[in-house]
Amino acid sequence: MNEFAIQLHNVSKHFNYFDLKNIDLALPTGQIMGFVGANGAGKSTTIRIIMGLMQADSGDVTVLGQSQPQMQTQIKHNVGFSSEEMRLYGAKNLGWHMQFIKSIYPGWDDAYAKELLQRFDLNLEQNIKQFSKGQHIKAQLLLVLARKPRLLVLDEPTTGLDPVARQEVNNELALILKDEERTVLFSSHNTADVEKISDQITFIDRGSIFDSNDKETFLENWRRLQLELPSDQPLLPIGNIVQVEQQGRLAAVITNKFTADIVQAYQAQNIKVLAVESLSLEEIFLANVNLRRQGER
Amino acid sequence: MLTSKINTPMIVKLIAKDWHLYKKFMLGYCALGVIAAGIMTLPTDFSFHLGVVVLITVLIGASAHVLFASIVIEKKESQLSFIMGLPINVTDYALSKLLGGIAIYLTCWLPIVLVTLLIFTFSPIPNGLIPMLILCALEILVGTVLLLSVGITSGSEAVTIVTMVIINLLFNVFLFAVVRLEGIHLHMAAETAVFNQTVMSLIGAGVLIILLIIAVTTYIKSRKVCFL
Repeated sequence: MNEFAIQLHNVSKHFNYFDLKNIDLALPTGQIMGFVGANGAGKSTTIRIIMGLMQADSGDVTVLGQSQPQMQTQIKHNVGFSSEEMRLYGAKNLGWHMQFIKSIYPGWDDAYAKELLQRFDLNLEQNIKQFSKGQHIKAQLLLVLARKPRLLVLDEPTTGLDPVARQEVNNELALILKDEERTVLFSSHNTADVEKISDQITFIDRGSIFDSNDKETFLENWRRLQLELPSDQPLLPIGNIVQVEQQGRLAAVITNKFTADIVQAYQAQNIKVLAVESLSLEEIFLANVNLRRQGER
Repeated sequence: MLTSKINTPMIVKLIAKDWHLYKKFMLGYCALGVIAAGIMTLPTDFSFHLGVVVLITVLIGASAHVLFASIVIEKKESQLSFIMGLPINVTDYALSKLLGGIAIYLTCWLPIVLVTLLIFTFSPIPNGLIPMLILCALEILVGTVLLLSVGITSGSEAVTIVTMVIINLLFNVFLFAVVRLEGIHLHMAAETAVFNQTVMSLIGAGVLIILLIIAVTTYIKSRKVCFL
């Protein structure tokens, strides 16, 4: 078995108004990676290149140990791909789609498909055009999961869903993905979705990957410190402080490499550390994007 | 560059999938075509001409339906994204659409043409018209194959519509041109069908054009590595 399910090395793609620049990405086998970026950041382009649907201008792409896009047919036998833009045939029912997919993938698991059907509360006989968006996405997920792929690539599967449907899909997805050893690449601009499911997080912005790590490391490293200053003089950033917000003698600073030394350094300056808070993935993402964009200016 | 060999089982599955999606419509067109052929046998000039117009309309309508439903709408409604995720490459997809489109269209074209030929044979309509009927039907078939090819290679709804309009205009030009050929018009009122060199040459040319379109489309698409 390959150590990495997906490996991108120095991948670039030029468009008239957008560039994907020097993408390096490695997804270890058995891991779930959340691929996070704003709309238009380059998530879908990267995923299309991974799936062999689009050719990179330069760089190497290896999926399940085989080169893309040259081996796309063989690779896609072992990859379950679902994207937000994907639509099933409205005039046919889910049962028809299941038969079609089953005829293609020998690994299709009837018992598991039946279980998913119940878990997702989907009607086999109902035409796809009568499905709500949430049901449509669940149907797509059923079709990719029941074929038991070695790699699952989900491009913004919950985008456009109302909060209730999104939570439903996410809960089911979280349960399903914990069921078995799967390698998953899951893209979203919604950090809450990613935080729930992923082991690894990769951030992309303006066509470049700017941070990638396991979720625990992100949550450990990124902290907010609530400070009380001895005076209302502007607080000067120290060491790994990436963001400072100050109102009079109260300040909140964010660090991307938290250690106890930071607390001690403030205390040595007669600054009272009122609290050390964890950040949500959304806050980490936003602070990280701001940091990167400031660096670009 | 053909990056990997043609995946024949997948091509067959994709064609079968399209057949399941469009078979009801094709059977509908088939029934309409047979009715049109029946109208042609009614004993008035008006009914004959009406039957001809309906027959041609049905054949062209079925052609447009196959093209738009299986290629243009599939792309527009993002079902192509679903298909692209399956273990196929661009050539597999193109072949499934081209050969599948032709096969599905033939399921209504062939019965309509055969029934019309039978009706011509056993009705007072002069059998001399049979070669003209075959040539017209073949021209519509060539037009369908060309349209499928343009739809597949361009991937553009606008280009496909413009091509369709041009092909339909050319059908009228074809009718006028063929009727003026001596080898055709001299035998149209005859009691028996005459398959002379002119007719056979035109049939041969039609078949050759179809084969050429299939070959060129396959070549063009096989040079494309990725779908997007």
